[in-house]
Amino acid sequence: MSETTEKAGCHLRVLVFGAEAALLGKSEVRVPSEVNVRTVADLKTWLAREFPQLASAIPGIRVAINHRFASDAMSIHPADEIALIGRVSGG
Amino acid sequence: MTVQVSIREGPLGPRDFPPVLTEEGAVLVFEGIVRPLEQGQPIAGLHYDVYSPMAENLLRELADETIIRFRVTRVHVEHSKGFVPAGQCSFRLVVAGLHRQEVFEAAQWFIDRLKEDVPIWKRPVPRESSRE
Repeated sequence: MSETTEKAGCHLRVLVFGAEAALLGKSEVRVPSEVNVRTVADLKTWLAREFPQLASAIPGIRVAINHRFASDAMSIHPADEIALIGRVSGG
Repeated sequence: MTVQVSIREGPLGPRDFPPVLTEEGAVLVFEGIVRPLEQGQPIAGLHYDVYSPMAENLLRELADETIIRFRVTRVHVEHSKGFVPAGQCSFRLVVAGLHRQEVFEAAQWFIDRLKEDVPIWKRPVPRESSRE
């Protein structure tokens, strides 16, 4: 993400864990307010474009909204807690 | 308590399962122990990242569903977060029921679902960087 993007107003905060966090080198991604992300599908599209290293993993990543798995069609609202849930490895 | 879920820092201590209920004829205890090797390489242990609010909710839902689906009487689950040294316990599942068949099946199903859905991630800690 460019420095300009980092300094822009933040619309959404997306938590990142596991292999995806390692790939990005961060545990959180901020979607700038000027980016039109209204659904989970929009978010995935933006992530794949903004972070090419994540693009191939996107189809296998689930998105959680407020601690519940969300379908691609589900809407995202500014106050939502969003998390990328890649392949898990508990147990 | 019929369902008990606990996520706690570090290795799990000794199990603390309430006394058997009158009708229970089977109690199964599964413990996941951190192995000393990861892909053939020695490790100091595993570090567990947990997305806690969602993990706790999902574990509780899984436990509730396990009780209904398999008609067992109790499901208690504990999972570590943070660093767990090799040789120590990071996951414990206790399932109680009337008979062994449903208890074994319930435990297998629960663990399979946990490994697919619950937002917990482990990463090996090499032996030379065992300090956490």
